[in-house]
Amino acid sequence: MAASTQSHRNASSLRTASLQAHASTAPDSPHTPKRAVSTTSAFSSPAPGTRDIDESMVFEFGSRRFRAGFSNESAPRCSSGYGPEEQRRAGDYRRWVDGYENSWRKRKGGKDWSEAYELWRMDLRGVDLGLVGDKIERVVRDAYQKYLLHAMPRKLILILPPAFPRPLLSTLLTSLFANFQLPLITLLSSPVLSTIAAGLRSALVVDIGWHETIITGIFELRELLHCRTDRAGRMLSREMGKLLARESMKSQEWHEAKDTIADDDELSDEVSFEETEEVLARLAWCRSYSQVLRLRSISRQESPEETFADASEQLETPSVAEGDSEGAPPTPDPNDPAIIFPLQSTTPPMTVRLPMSRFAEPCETVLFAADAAADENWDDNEVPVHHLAYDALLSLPRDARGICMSRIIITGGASNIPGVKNRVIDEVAALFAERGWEKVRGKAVERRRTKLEEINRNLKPSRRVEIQKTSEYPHGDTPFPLHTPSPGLEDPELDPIDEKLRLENAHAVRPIVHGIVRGVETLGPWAGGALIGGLKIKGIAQIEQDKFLQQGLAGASKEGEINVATQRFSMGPGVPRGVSAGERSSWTLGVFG
Amino acid sequence: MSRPFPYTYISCPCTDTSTPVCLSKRRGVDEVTRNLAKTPLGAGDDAEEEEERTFDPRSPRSNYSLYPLEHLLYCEDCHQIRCPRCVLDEIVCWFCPNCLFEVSSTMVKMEGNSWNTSDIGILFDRPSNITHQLERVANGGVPGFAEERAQARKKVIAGEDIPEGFAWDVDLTPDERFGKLKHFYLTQLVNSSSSSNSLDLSNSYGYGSPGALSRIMGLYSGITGYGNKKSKARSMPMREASTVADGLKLLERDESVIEKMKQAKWDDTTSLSQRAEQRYPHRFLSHILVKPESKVQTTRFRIRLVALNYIPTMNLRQLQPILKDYNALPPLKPIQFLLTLHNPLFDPIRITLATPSHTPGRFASKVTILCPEFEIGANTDVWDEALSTGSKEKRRTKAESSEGQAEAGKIWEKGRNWTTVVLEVVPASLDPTPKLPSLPEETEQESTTEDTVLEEDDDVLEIPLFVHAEYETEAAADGSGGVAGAEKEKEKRELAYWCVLGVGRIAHSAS
Repeated sequence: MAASTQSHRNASSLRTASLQAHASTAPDSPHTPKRAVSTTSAFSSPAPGTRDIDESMVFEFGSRRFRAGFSNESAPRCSSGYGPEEQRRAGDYRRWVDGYENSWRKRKGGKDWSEAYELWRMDLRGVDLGLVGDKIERVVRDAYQKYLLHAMPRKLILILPPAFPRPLLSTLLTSLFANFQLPLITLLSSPVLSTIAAGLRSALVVDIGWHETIITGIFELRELLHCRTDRAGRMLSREMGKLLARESMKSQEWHEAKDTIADDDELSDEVSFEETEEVLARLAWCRSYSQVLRLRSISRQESPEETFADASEQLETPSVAEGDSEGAPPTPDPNDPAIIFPLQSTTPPMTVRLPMSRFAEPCETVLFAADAAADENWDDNEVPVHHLAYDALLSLPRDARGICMSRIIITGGASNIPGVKNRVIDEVAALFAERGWEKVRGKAVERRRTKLEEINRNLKPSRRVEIQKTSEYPHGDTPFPLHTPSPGLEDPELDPIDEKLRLENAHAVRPIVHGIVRGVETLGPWAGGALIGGLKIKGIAQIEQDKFLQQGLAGASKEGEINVATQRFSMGPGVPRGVSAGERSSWTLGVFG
Repeated sequence: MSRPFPYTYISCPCTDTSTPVCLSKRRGVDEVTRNLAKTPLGAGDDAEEEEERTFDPRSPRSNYSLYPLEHLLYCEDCHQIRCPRCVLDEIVCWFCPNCLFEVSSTMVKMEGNSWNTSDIGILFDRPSNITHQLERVANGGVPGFAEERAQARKKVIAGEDIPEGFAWDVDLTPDERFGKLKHFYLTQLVNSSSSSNSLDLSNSYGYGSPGALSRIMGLYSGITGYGNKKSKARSMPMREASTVADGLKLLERDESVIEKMKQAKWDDTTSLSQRAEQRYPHRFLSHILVKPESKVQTTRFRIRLVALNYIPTMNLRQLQPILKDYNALPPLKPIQFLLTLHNPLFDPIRITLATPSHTPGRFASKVTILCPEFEIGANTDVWDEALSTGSKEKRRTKAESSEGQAEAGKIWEKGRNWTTVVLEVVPASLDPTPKLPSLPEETEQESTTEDTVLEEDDDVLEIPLFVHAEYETEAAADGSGGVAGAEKEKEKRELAYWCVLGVGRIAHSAS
């Protein structure tokens, strides 16, 4: 495996790749394509480049995971978490001690459900930035020593979510620059990289992350807008935890009395976070839109008042009851089989038997707010994902909207749950079908629309008649029709030369898909960063070690103060580029400033 | 429990300087940051106070700065303790436990793993594509399904004509897709960027290419044809990937996955730990690997000196053998411990110890060092001790020590290069309200509230201890002096650091 990725990085293979490109596109003068990879000096003749020397490192920091690797590789070398076990003192081997698993309640202490497993949270009021710096330092050092195996100074591409809090950015850069030999850090925004890793230039990126779902409209690789909602991985794992806790409580007699009054704290002490995450990763799934419609219609028939979640609950309760009443296995339902799995963290450890459909509930309630009324007024931070995506499209400029709606990229950790991606796309398509791109909704609009339709209906028949008339009297002996169909309505005459040209150009210029709702798969922001790094594209937000350590974030000039154009074009080809000090007197954080 | 009690951890002084240095420099701008950073640490203490605050082994940050002495290094140039955090490791050589050879790290990086499978009777034709070769072996030398699929996929990658439906069936792996995308972008960059390097793409300025050469020729010869032709042809902007061959992949329906999940059992699904292993397979291999024929490198050692040779070692043991188990210290009873410091240096050291009178944390235990200032003898020849008259020595017999009463201000014992002082500890009670004998009903109620729930390590008694060592030593001979005089100049050195003594666990009052 290692060998295959390395051959992938091979400079010679890249050269052949670019040569193929050259051959297929046939430019006007014969030229060797520029070697974008591993050129040691500007003046050296193309020689087998020393692999690896030029590749920069690519780091992606998320709230839960850290990914690190080298550019021009398709996957990161390592992906590590920030769990409490990674944060112990040196020489602390208690996790290997017998019975360690059972003391998780003590370890959790008074902390929030997932706090110990996160690097940071966006609400900085309770965040100890020093601790964040320590965690970053440790996780990067770990990656260096175990996976990257490189201590020499290298450039770094740092992938961050858009609109990243400045104090966190300061902490992050400080601990990277102060502890590791990084001459230059380039900041890149993750949704843009997701777009690049999908091969696109414009997209609507739906990043279902840990703390929040961030929806970004990208047009020609520029961020147009961000929307956020709290409905993301953290809520999902909390919801799954509650589901498991309730089930485990049900099967314990002494809890039966207070089953209904169990509050959040109690529920969070029932099943450990690790185990919840395990279940979430292995069993969670998401209903498809058609399934949801079917369920909704059933629920409407049965009891019109009840919400959707209740209905699904009702549908599933019989099998649960069967399972609980006696030890006998319930009648197997091929569409909703029972899943038996162990829970270790409960006291006592138990085996839980749950129908498969129950594991779709967290997704329904958290991401799509299926338990809420159809058109509720949500707070800004709790809009369901599909509504937020629709709203984001709605607030995009019309041109961008047409392009972006057929390039919806869904990424982020929680999007890997089977069914989620398709569900988001389908829901957005349904919203679009229902509402169109109208910002104004309501009864008054409905009335207006029906009125307009009526007028239309009154107009249409007369026109059709007229057109028929013209067809009835094709020749001049009849009175000339009052309304001839406008030339624009006619089919254009086929020009054989145009047709030929079109066919010839067909392989070069493809029609741009727009106006339909369509999803596109991405390789993820990390791969995008690796692509960008491999292509040696220079970033706007480039920070040098010396300057940052001297000036800190305050040294960054505002975007616009730096004349990008002069940097790009004024240099003659003879000036060796690179990390020369005099090149940039000032630096900027770009979109992160 | 992390290590057997009693233990000693040393806090590397780098921690306090590594992160906040830059923050404090930008006091004006990042005042908010500082305040944010401060709030969880302690309510409303000033910046000055913060500087002088005692080390708290319970703060979550302490986990990152505390190291056992054996993990620490000492830098002779800056006379500082160096922890793994303030050191950058550069691995010069790797050792293969399998073939017992050393390999330079460049080889490791270039060659990767060359694991020898002949041990288990499998021989591969080539080092890549192991899966298919294995399948072939399993299939009796005939290409298996995976290989057929791989061939079909190869056709897709090559862009050969394949029926539309089939092309979508054969999925690209992420690896292949990455290659496609890279190829696509490279093509686009070559096409869209004119030779004037408008997109600022590559390090090279295209001197290697005839195209650029012709442009330069045009520049000098004054023939404008070169440039114009190019600019017309190259005006095409970058487009997006629009086919599978470009690396585009549309979102596909994944109902089949859910159907599969319905059939699967719990054990059929991939656990998180398995996933972690699967995706990053180099993880273990890159350590073991090796190329047997490469010769042993001449290793260049960096100055990497073990702190054990520079920092006094500390040991803690109890004075009277009243404790049977360090995991159950009786609460509210004074216990006397002997703290022994060994001097590894060849010069005598003056030590000053300091500790807060109450340990930080929820349950504050009382700590008293009976003799905080003392001297430790030099680590001289062992014979000196035997030959010299025992004026410096202060030993105690067993009887003395068992009955002995520690005196304040006096050391307990002293040897050639070690000194022992007495440390008195009164462990706190883990009962939050020890003075009020409460009714059993009440305690039951209380036990559910948050305050009374014991968190992990709440019962561990850890003493933060500030060590200040002072000694005079010969100035570093760096060859500048020429002739070394009869009396070398003495240099005074100081070393100050926090450390943490883990005494034990306080017994629960109920038991």
